[in-house]
Amino acid sequence: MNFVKFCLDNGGTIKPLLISPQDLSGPSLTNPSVLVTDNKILVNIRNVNYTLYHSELSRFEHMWGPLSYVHPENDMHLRTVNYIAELNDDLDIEYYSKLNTSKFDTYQPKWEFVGLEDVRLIEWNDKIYAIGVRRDLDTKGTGRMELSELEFSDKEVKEVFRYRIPGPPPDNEYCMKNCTPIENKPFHLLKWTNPTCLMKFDPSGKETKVFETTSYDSTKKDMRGGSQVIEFKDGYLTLVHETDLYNSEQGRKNATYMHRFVYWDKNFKNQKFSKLFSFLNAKIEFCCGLAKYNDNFLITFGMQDNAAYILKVAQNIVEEFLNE
Amino acid sequence: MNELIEFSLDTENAEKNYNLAKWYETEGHNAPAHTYYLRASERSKDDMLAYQCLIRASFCYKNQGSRDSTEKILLENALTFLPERPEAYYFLSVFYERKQEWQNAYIYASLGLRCYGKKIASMNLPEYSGKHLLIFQKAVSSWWWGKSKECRELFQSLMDNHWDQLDENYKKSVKDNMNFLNSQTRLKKFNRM
Repeated sequence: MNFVKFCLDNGGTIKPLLISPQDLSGPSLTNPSVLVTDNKILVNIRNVNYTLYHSELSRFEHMWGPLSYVHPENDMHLRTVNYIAELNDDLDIEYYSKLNTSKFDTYQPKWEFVGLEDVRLIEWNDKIYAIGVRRDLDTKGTGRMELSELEFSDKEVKEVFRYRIPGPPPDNEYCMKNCTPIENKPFHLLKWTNPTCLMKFDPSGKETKVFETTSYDSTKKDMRGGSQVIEFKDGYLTLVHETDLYNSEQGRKNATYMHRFVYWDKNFKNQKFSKLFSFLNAKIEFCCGLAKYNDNFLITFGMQDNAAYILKVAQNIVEEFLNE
Repeated sequence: MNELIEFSLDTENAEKNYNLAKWYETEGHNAPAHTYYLRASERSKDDMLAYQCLIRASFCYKNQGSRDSTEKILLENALTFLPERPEAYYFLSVFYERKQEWQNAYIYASLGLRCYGKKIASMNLPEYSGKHLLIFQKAVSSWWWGKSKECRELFQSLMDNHWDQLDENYKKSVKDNMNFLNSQTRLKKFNRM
């Protein structure tokens, strides 16, 4: 199902999120996140040094298979930097700034994935944070969510505080990612969707705690975090993804990502799921952003890791979709 | 932005993928342009469009720089898809010229010229303006492969038969090459005296 078409058919809008190519550090803009604060629309756009080659129908595959991350041949890393932009009411970019991370990026990255990936923007206690996963601190790619506090000035957006969020004890997961921040619940992340599992961390360095709820639907498969978890009506709403990772006949990797809305009551119980959907019928799509804006939702997503979009749709349309 | 709306409403339509790709390419965004060209090529029932999209997708990698193997694989996909067309041979010849792999540059230019045994339907690909480009490629690469006589004949043929089709840059290059080749001949004669 093409969710963007559904939205457009119901009065929605879609816009590309673009930054001048001369200002970019790599060819692709993807996986944007959106936050509405003081009626301003802020987005984070991930900029990567690779281009994803995906022969979705396997008609014209790369020599390395249907799905390849094409990085520069003189740089074996997959690098990410982030741009923060403000949008106007028409969802066009008014200004943008490369996120200045120089205060903390003072080390030599040790793994092939470099930088803060798949950022979600969140406002907690009147501060704006970017939360993403970083995997460049050791030689095996251990992933942990990192919290970055952002400071906005006329000149730039700067990272002024960084905290690597430990997993709950015994903190021995290899790659903890796609844990998504919860609106108005400072330092709470949705760790798992089904069964629902929240965790609370303490940026002063204390132990991360886990809260499990009884919400579980055994008919649904593994769901992974996508957008932030936002307050809606009397509960919480988020957009998650489900991945189907498989191999081509030649044993080369391939993947399909699908999305769905998930809604809980105030206590993160009684989950409701929308049907699975694709945004634009592409095999690799990824949503990192969901925000309320007037009577609408703003939803941001990346397509094939090579394009970034923002979608506006009336809240009641999403509600109907969720209740179908 | 109409191209995006039209595509969103009909995502499996090759032409709408192509139009969106073209828009991104014009804006200088090569990564999304490549994505939509590749989607268009895989969905197109029009072989010419599929072929054209593969070649344009290769340009998207060339423009990014340092992604030669992917630029090449897209051209090879195009070549094997419609081997009777000359364009992919030409761009592969240029690719190998850039890498100074003269034998490969020569081979692809020669194979491309063989396509001209029969009529070739026109295609909207402004970067390839015709047979004279393949002759030029063959002329240049033949010199570096030690085929001096053939090199002279090919440059002469460009002057005699294709002069009006060459743009100013090519005209200058052909003249410079002929001057160089003539000076070599004079030098050879002088040395024999």
